[in-house]
Amino acid sequence: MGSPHIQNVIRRLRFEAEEMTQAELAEKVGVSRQTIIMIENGKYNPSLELSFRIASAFGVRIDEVFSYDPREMKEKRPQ
Amino acid sequence: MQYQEKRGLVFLLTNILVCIAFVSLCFLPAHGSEPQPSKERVVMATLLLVLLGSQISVRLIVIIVFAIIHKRATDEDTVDVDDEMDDMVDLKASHTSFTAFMICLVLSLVTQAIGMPLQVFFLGLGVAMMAYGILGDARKIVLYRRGV
Repeated sequence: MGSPHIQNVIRRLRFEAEEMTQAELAEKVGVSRQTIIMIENGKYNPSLELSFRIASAFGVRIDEVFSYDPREMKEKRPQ
Repeated sequence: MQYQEKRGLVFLLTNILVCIAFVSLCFLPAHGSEPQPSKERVVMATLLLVLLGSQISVRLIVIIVFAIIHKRATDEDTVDVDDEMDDMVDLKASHTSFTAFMICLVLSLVTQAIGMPLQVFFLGLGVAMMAYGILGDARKIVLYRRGV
């Protein structure tokens, strides 16, 4: 399962981009719609290259699409 | 249910059907005339080759038939893009399949080491091949449902 520490705002960005459909985004970045659904739901963490392609499709920086919360990782890491 | 999940489910069911056919074929000669070890070895080896061949050919046929039926039923284009997530799912499923195959293979070899009949070894190989297909497909469905 995708890491819960990595979150994304793809759904919001699609909505802001004139309600772009998942299929349209999938075609733009060259993956299947299923993959976009899984990424949106946090079930799959895309590769760095795909993350850049998604950010580029919306015309934003990668950190505006994906965010990472290291605090939870530190809490779980053994001392 | 998404396209890949449906396809995975169809593959899984097909694999199970092929396995049922294989098992029933395996146990048919047992009811016949008196068993001869040399003949049984040839029969079992042939059956394993038939299982391997039928698994591959049935899968190819199912891919084509499923794509046609899916297109007609849903009027959606089939997912012909194998992207990085599909590769990841395939990789993880292959790991499961390989592990299952190796466990069955080692157990089959153990049966020979402790002096059990040769049929048990062949049966173990058959189970290994079946486990390879079934567990791999089942893992794919789980990964598509729960996440990679």
